[in-house]
Amino acid sequence: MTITFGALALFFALIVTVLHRTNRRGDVADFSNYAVGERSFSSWFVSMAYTNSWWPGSTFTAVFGLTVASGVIGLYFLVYSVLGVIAMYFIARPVWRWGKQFDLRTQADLLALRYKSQSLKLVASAISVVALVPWLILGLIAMGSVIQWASLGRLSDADSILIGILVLVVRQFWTVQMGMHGLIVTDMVQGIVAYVGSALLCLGLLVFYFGGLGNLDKLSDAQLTLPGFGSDSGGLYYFGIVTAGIVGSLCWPMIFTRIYTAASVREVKTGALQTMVIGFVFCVLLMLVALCVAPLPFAAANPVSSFFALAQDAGGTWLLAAALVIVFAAGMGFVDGVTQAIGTQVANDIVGVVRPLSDKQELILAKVAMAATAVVAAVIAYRIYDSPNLAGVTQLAYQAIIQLAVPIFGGLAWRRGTREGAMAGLLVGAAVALVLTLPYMDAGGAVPWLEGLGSGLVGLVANLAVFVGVSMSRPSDAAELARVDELFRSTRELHPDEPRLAPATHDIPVSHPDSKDAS
Amino acid sequence: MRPAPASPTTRAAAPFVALFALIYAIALLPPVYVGLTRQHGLIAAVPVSVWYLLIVSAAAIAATTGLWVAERRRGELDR
Repeated sequence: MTITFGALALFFALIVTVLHRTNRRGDVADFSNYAVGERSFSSWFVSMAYTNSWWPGSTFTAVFGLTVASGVIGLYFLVYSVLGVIAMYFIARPVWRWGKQFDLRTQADLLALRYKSQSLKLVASAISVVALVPWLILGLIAMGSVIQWASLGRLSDADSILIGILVLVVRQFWTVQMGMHGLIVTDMVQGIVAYVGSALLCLGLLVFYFGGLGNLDKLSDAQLTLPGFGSDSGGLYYFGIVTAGIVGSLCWPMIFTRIYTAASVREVKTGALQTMVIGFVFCVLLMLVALCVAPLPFAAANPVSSFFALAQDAGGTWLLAAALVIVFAAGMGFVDGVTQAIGTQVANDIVGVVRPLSDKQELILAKVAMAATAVVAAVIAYRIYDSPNLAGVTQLAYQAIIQLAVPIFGGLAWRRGTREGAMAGLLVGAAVALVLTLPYMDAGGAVPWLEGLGSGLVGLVANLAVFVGVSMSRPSDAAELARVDELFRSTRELHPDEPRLAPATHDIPVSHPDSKDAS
Repeated sequence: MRPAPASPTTRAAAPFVALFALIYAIALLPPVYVGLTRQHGLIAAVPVSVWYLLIVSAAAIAATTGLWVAERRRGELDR
């Protein structure tokens, strides 16, 4: 126990030291700096922050366990994670430039600017916050399993969860105080430990423990095959979970905000590419280890804990301690990102819409919201950590969050999309997803009579149809069309090397997103 | 007022659109993924079904790298 808890304590001390050494008084002087870290970060910080927010500690438990138990279907995480980042590359220019030009801090700010609608901003933010809370709870619960393994089985489930929650709540003190700058800097340290460390550990296990990839030949046909038509899961099950992942990847606020933290469009694009490479190397090695350990009895008996069990079996307490620090680092970065995103959205996009706030008030409110959410999530996590329906709750959250894809990407790709269309589509899509998910919670919202297609995707189709239909039947007036056209032109105007196509940006008749609803 | 001219991400991106579409199709079309993951023969000790999932992900990275290089050469990374 001294080795495992000592390793976790040392890592925690390292993170706190880094936070204090990099903390600058000006970082949280105004809300924009607090929320997007002065838009000053290089591609490596952007990519590591994205990675930390994307691959939580539960990757080493839930995803690893899924691959151990079910085989190659677990690699769907790899496919949608890599393919989802491509969207970040293509939307980098308008999103980053509008962010810089109009001081946007969240994806809801972008929606307010694009559609000139505070109502849409509020609804989108409310969906985001509600969808994020279950992930925060899961992050806290995953931390509990780290503590339990660190105790070498001497602590009970409940005590482990409680201690894990307390550690993360203590960590939130610094997250709340230091905002996005502290978060991004520690994401780099946590990311190096979690993902580079994991890659090295997995490489070592494949070479020295498994002696190569020979165990892959021992997997059953069922473990090596994706579900087809007529199977229990359905032929569209894999399509549904991968497509939802791709479409939804940039709908998560803590992911989208990474674009605004970059220093330029170039840094966003380079960061997107680096994110793909880091995620690919990390995930491929982890999944190969999961597939190789799958045939071993101790892993098959308890897939969710098999990453820790494998490390302990391969290298005793010292290697277990290394594995625990890796999962601890990944989990801490994820919980930080989620907490920060919730605080920013509550202050900037929900309360700030209902009642305009000063920068100082937004800052205080964001900190209070983060602290309050962390405490509420901690209480719920402690009460429901052994609930068998937890996965269903998070799937419900996922089916809801992807509805934001229509107003976000539709608004970026189609200039004639209207605020009425976006709002109607969002509400209809969310309602359809909710109604279809509830009867199939145990299957994660996969609808059996649709060959396993996810309820969120059905909602997304309805969402898109309503968005297009309402936008075409009730088009915007000439002034609004001109405003949106100028908005798009402005994304080409900021670069000094480019030919000028329109009036200077300060002449563009575009309102700040905080201006009142035009509708 | 006339709408602003269509503006793809960059001129360099145009040839890559078809490539990305192909990668998404290979990754997401049910007949492709169902058919390919039924192949369990070993290539370099790795089953074909595993190779399929690895290669489709790697192809996305390769295409994005190609686009990034093309945009950098044309000075379009900030556009």
